[in-house]
Amino acid sequence: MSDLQERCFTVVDKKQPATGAAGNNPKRLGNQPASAKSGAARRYDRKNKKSNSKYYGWAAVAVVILVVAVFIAVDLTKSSTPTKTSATNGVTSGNQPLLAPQDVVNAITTIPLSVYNQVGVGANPPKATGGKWTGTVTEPFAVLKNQPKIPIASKKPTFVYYGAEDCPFCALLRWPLVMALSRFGTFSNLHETMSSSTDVNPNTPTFTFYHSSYKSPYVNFISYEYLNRLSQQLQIPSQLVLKLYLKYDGTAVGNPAPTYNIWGSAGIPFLDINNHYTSAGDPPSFAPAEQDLTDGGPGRLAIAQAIRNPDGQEGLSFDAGSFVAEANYISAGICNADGNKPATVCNSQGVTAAKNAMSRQKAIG
Amino acid sequence: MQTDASEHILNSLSWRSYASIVISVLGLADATYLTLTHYTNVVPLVCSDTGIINCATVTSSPQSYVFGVPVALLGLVYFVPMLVLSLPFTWRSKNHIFAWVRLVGVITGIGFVAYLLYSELFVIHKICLYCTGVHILTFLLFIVVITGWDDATVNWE
Repeated sequence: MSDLQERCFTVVDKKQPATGAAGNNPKRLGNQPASAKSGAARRYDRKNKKSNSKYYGWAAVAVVILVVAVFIAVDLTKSSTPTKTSATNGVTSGNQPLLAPQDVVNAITTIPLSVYNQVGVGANPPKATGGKWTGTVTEPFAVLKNQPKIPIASKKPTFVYYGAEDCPFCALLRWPLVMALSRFGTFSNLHETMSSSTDVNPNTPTFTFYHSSYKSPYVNFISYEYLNRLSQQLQIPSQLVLKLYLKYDGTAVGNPAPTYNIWGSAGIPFLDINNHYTSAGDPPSFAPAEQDLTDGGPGRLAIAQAIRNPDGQEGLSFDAGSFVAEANYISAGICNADGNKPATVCNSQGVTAAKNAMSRQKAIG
Repeated sequence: MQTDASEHILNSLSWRSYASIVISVLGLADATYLTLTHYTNVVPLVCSDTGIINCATVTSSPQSYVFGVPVALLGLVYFVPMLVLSLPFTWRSKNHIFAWVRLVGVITGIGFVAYLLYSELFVIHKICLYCTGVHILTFLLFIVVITGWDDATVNWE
């Protein structure tokens, strides 16, 4: 008898009765009569009495399989059911923002790491490692030092966005903002809109952070869209955000007043990454693309797909690489503020190129 | 003296023990890899980052943390005790605690798998291959343990 058998069934052997006529009933251990069963036999009988219980285990397995099957079926059904969204060509979108189409959201929030790494920050400086896109993207942020901590009770660094739906430069900047922030977290209910039809670069297709939410373990993202695309009041920014805006865009001390604003163009879109990096006004990186996306450009899905392939014909037509480079700069700013997490993003080639470019700037403060 | 019934139970406990050891070791290896890629850049996350399969998107998503702890680390912590609870002596033991902890462990594990699968399909809209590997292993461990409950407890007084 093996050690395992000894442990489990010693009682059977030691109490084996000499007499009895149980025969070879397989449900009994040994040949003892029912009235003189050993401990193990009684246990085995007990097990037989609850023989149905073994089916409970398989029933539990079946339930798990069923749950997984339902998940997959619902997911497949959901992805094939059209949701209430606008057409992917922004021109057809009305004044009321609608939920952005899932294919557009998927395309823009999952830009391959290889694209970010290939583009880096563009051709000059440093030189892109490959591809045809040879645009130049300058550092969009003023690098600050010795600034007070943003007084928000959060262990995560704070990222402030202050813009408006009618603003054409905000419209451009939201593309790389969504791209970069999606590397650190997830947007929900991302809506789409267009810039004003009466401002410069009219009807630039974009997203809006109004009605959308963002969740990240790395960064605390605060956004305000203070006007809709008809230039009507939408969100009233908090006093804190207004103070940050007035201080760092230069408006508080005269417009333009580049104390902290290296480009001298005050206004929105305003970005503040934990009081380490700020940007206000027209982002110079996007100058080549401004006119190419007016009146809907090639359509939202085509824009997103071109950004995924900046060396393609469509990508080259509106300088899609500049969106990727800008997203690398924003990612680098977040990485420097959050302690370089996650490593897969923050130590990547593209973000490292942006960090290097930003580190060459003289810090203000 | 050995009966068919005892032999059946002994065989069942043996293969369940070995199967759960193999599953736990594989799960431990997978979770270790995911934890290393989460915390360091020395070990690259070798996975597609285009299409529905996108490990980086999943492993850097907000859902990759539960109560502030990376899920990859939770997986690592999960498979260590499950490996111990897979050793033959724990399957044979008359001490009820081993079987109960093992049962609670696999039920907790499968609950987590359901939550993470839901997150991948409905929140992140991406699938992480290595995470799916852990999910499958957790499910297999669930099957081995839960269908072996009778055999593991037949020796109880």
